Amino acid sequence: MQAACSTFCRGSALQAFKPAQQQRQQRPALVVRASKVAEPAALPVKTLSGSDAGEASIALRVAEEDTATGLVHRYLTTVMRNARQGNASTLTRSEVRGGGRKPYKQKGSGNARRGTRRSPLMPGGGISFGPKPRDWSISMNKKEKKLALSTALQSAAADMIVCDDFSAMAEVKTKTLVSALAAMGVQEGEKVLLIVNEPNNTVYLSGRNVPTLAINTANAVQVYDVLNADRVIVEKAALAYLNEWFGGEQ
Amino acid sequence: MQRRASLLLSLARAWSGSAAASGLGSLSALPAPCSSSAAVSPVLEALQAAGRRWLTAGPVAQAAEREFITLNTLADNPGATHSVKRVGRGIGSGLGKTAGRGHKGQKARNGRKPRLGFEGGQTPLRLRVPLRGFHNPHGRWYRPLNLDTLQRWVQEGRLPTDRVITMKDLRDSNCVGRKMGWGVRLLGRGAGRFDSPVHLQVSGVSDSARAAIEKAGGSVTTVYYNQLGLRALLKPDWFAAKGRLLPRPARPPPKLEGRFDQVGELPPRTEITAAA
Repeated sequence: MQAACSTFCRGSALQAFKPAQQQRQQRPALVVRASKVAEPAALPVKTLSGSDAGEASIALRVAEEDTATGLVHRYLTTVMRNARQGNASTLTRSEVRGGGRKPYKQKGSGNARRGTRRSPLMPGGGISFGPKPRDWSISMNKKEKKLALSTALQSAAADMIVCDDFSAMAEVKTKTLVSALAAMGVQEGEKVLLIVNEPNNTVYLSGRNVPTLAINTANAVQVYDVLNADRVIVEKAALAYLNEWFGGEQ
Repeated sequence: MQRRASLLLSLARAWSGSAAASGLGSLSALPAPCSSSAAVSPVLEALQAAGRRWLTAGPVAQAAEREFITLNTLADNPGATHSVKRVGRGIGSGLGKTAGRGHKGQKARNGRKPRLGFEGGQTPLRLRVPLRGFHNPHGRWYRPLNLDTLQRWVQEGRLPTDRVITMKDLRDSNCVGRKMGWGVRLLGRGAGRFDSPVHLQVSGVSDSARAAIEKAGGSVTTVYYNQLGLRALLKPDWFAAKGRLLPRPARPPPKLEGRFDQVGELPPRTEITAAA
């Protein structure tokens, strides 16, 4: 199960898989004081068959209004930059093969003076300031990153639905998963983010082939998936985890 | 877009501090500002009717016009980025052809500029201005420590209060840095707020600092250490590692006689005496 779940989270970055319990025990508390707890937003709770089962609420910490969008933007660009491989490479005039000999004499030929066959002015020549393999990664404060993800989640609360645990799924069947999501209210063609509490191989394999479905674990929600999704389905236990980790008194 | 608009309000209300949550209504029916349900003045009514709430409810108003966070509305904060000046890229940019260098001359050339400080042959500033002063090889300097820093350290529990605080305690707790010249001098920034009864042994103290400490019930003793003595105070292990004994404390030179309360001891005695 561990090998299969190493690429559990669909998204731009691959993550090393750690069992959920172990990761949560080792995580230290990260207090972000420059934030406020948002007003609780009511979320509908549905069972796996789609019937209503009450209401839940999500109240996470959010950044100040005038900087919230900028913060989430910076976090998203950081994540996407860090995912870059940085393999683009070109050859400069010194690296292109050939071009050591002066093509013709300096004066008298009637053409422009040339010292090499491979100058950037000429076809077949080197590239002047082209890309070289480089590291695109940048860092961001840990507390800022946490607050950005928390703000993004809270702003997606309008599209959130809470559901029962998917651990009851017995067989790996894409049709079952998709019909369960549709019963909960996901429309045709909507992009869905499913946040589960613990990595569940059955759910993962059932949903892997659905291009508009992304599955994240609660302790590793990816901001791109949150922003990209039209709907966010959260398991009850995952919602409790989010409320505890991102909300709460600090 | 009903549900998204309503969520905007919850984000906004978190910052307005309004506890009057009248449910997740539509945008056109924003709730009343955080002040209670008292009689509403005509001015307030007019403002509400105009939809401008910034005079009454703080930042709630901006929420109504702001976009919520989606991939297509993401942008960095205004002023976070600025475009780089790129020269030599055409007429329309304003920096084409000569690229901001004017026409000809040494300054327009690639890789050739006069050296720094050269003024074209005119006597440069550094030669026009007269020399001044001399360097005193016997100068002494002290590391300043203000009362506000000291207070903060004491309140955080980083300095002992049951015994006399020496300059070694100040160094070990990182209240002062590694370079302290001939010792630590206590100065009076934050004297008005100082209220911790501490007993200190430092190299110097200003009048206002001394007054503030004694008013708070503490005491300050100025002690003299020469360079070797200060090293023995701050790093006694260095001597032990070399197999040396601690040096004997030195008297101050005649010039400094009378400027210190006592000669610093090695190792220092740190019991709080009643006289202090």
